[in-house]
Amino acid sequence: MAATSARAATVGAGRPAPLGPWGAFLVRRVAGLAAVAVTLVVGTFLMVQLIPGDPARVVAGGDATPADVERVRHELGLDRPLFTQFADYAGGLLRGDLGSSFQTTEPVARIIGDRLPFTAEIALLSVLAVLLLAVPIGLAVAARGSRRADSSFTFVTGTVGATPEYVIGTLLVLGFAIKLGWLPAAGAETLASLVLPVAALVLPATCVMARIVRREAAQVLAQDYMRTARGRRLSPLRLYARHALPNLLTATLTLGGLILAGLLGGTVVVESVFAWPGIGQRVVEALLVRDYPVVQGCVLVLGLLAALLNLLVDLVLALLDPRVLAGKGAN
Amino acid sequence: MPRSRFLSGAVTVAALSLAASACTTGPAGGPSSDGDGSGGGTVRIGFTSDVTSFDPAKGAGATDYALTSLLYQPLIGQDDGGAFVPGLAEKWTSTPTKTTLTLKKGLTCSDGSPLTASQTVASLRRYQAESAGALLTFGPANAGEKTTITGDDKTGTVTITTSAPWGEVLAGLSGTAAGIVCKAGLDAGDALARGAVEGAATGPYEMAKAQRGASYELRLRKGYTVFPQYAAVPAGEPAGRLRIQIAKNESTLANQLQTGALDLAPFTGTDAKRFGDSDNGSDNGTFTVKSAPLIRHYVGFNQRSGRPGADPKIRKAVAQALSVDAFNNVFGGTGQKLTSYVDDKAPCVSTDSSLLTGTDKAAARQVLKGVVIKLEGSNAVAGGAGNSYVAEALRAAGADVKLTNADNATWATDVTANQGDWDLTVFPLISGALARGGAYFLGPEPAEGGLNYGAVQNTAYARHYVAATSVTDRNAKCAAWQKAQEALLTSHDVIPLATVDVHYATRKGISFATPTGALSLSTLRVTG
Repeated sequence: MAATSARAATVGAGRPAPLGPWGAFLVRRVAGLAAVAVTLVVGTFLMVQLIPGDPARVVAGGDATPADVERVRHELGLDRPLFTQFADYAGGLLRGDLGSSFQTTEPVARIIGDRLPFTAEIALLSVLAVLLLAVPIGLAVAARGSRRADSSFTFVTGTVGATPEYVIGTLLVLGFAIKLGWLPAAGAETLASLVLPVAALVLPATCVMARIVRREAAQVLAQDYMRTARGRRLSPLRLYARHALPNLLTATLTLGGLILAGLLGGTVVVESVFAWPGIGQRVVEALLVRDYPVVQGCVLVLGLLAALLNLLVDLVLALLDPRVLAGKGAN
Repeated sequence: MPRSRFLSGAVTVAALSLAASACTTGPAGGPSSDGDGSGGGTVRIGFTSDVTSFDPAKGAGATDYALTSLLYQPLIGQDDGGAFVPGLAEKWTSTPTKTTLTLKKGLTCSDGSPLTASQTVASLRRYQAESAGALLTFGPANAGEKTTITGDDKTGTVTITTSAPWGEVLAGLSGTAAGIVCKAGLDAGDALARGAVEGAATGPYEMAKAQRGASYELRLRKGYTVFPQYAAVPAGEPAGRLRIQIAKNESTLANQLQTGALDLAPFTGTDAKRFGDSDNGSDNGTFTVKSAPLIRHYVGFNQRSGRPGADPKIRKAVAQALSVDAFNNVFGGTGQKLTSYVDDKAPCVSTDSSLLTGTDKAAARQVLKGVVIKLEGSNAVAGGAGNSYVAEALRAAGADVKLTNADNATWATDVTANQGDWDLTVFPLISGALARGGAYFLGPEPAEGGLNYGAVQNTAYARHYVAATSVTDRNAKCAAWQKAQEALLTSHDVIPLATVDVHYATRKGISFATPTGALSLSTLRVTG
């Protein structure tokens, strides 16, 4: 760690940095995060206003008279000027209040608190599985260097990687739940319920990532220092784990962060296929009934989480590769 | 060594997963018996939408109605053929201006406290104030203080008096929205909508567990005996527990039903065919499929000046361009071809097919050629496939159709609130009652506080509607309804199409009734 900091200081020594390379790096990243947050707040508020349809009418119900609809509109605060509504929304955010659902009157914070753990669970497990599978597979194919293995690998990963998650999910249910009866078809009641939704997310993502790892690994393995390492007759495990893998980490982590950020919001289809009570499903429900506070709150929280994850990945990359501090890193 | 350790770890994880799976996947032979000892075990039911409100007066979807009907029982029920049956009330009398109901003896709330006439009155007053549907329970001319609701705790009677005659009070009181809420629920304010309130229930079940958006578990109240007395309630015991699970799509529900994780699930799409041929009462040995109308489709017109629908000839030509059989086939051909704007389960519905205009494409073409028609429909049912059929049929007759397949919220805003630019709609009517569905064809327009979205001006229909809804005598009511429907159908203000049915697939050993064509989970019994 001390060595890393010293190297970082050396890298940043060429330009005036009163905060030091780490300080400047953090200021840049936090300022970026703040800009993302402001954009998300304004963007989500304006986005829901553009959706056609009247939330007051949806809440009032099919039998409602226009007077009922107007009463509901007033109760929801939708009869006030747009700027006043935004000021209330932004003021609420500053107090930590995300508002309440138009439909169920539940606080949005509670809805997110109830749903986010489910989405996070399958997203985090999926990323972990993707990393644990894709890196060794990609590395192994690159190390083998066989044209036949390479062709098979390209065919399989190309096919599975291009298959939509809902198709994979449906096939998994058909095979493992309906035909074999080994795993639950849907629900979130036990650990076993995790297997199929995570598999549906992991298979295509693993294929995409394994292809990238293979390409990166092929470049790394062709480097002079790898030839030197081979010349020292190191064991394959030591050769790849100690000399090749660290040089793949930058690309792998960058991609892993993007995959996780994507999975947080992108589990909608898988949550639907497996009746997984995550946040993606709730956003779709809320969109269909024009439940503005729920849409705003969920999109805002998901967006901020994605931004935070990217920040975390940047920090880890900066620790691993100090060139990142000066904005010259691989990513 | 690392490899063998990895393999053994993987095998352990797989084995644990399978063991956990075996614990969760329910028995394939019928309801499980892990209830609390009362009733007939646990029945697991799937729905595709979550509850939006636990307040019976504010229910808006199938799952809302299903759950609140179990928690809050109405005073009476309406059975097939229109007969009223006891619920919380054991007897009643009704005239066009006065309805008196006598509560059953020994009624209690779910906390054990007695349910009195005064509490029932408070619940009905709240229903009148809070529910949009209450307007058609007490009558449009009897809003607010023009309806008085009083109770006598000594005799256990509740009396409803309206200033203007209105003959639909009993029908309105039989609806799920009029379910009686005990004092604990009335005092809870908005909390009643957010979740079941302890001590508020008057129905056969109380909430045991709730995980919003995922599952709910209801427990049968001990010693509960005042179930609604529909004629077709199956023999057997009510379930000791009902576990409601939410899955967003029907294929997922079908997978769960097929693998033994559910015992009952509703389907509007082709997944129902996995469990039988979707005919009413079809039985493939493991599952039974029972069908009931969910949506009643008809064509409605914007009849405002300058719109094509203002011309009776064009309305008739639209009827001639359409084939009800073809429309029904769009939804698998399992729906009921309508002879009015509601299905034949509705009391007093017209079944006279001579009032309908048959398909005559040549005649339709002569009138519709070159006519520009803006068709807006909801895509809530089968992605709007019915709208697409109507659009294509009108195009085939020469009309220049601009189709908008909107989501339900947009459609409701554009058409039923008349804030959009539309000429014709394929209306998905949820209510199966003539008075409720027919309220869309008379009175003020939405901009003036009414429901008449198409600005229909059919004075004969309006006169007969008022006559039908102002009497309680069944013969006089049906005679007036016949004339009202004749006026509406022969002027082509409405063109009946077909129902889209919901197919309830149940595992063997479970049965329930569908009075007036609607699912009643209070009638669910474990039969074997």
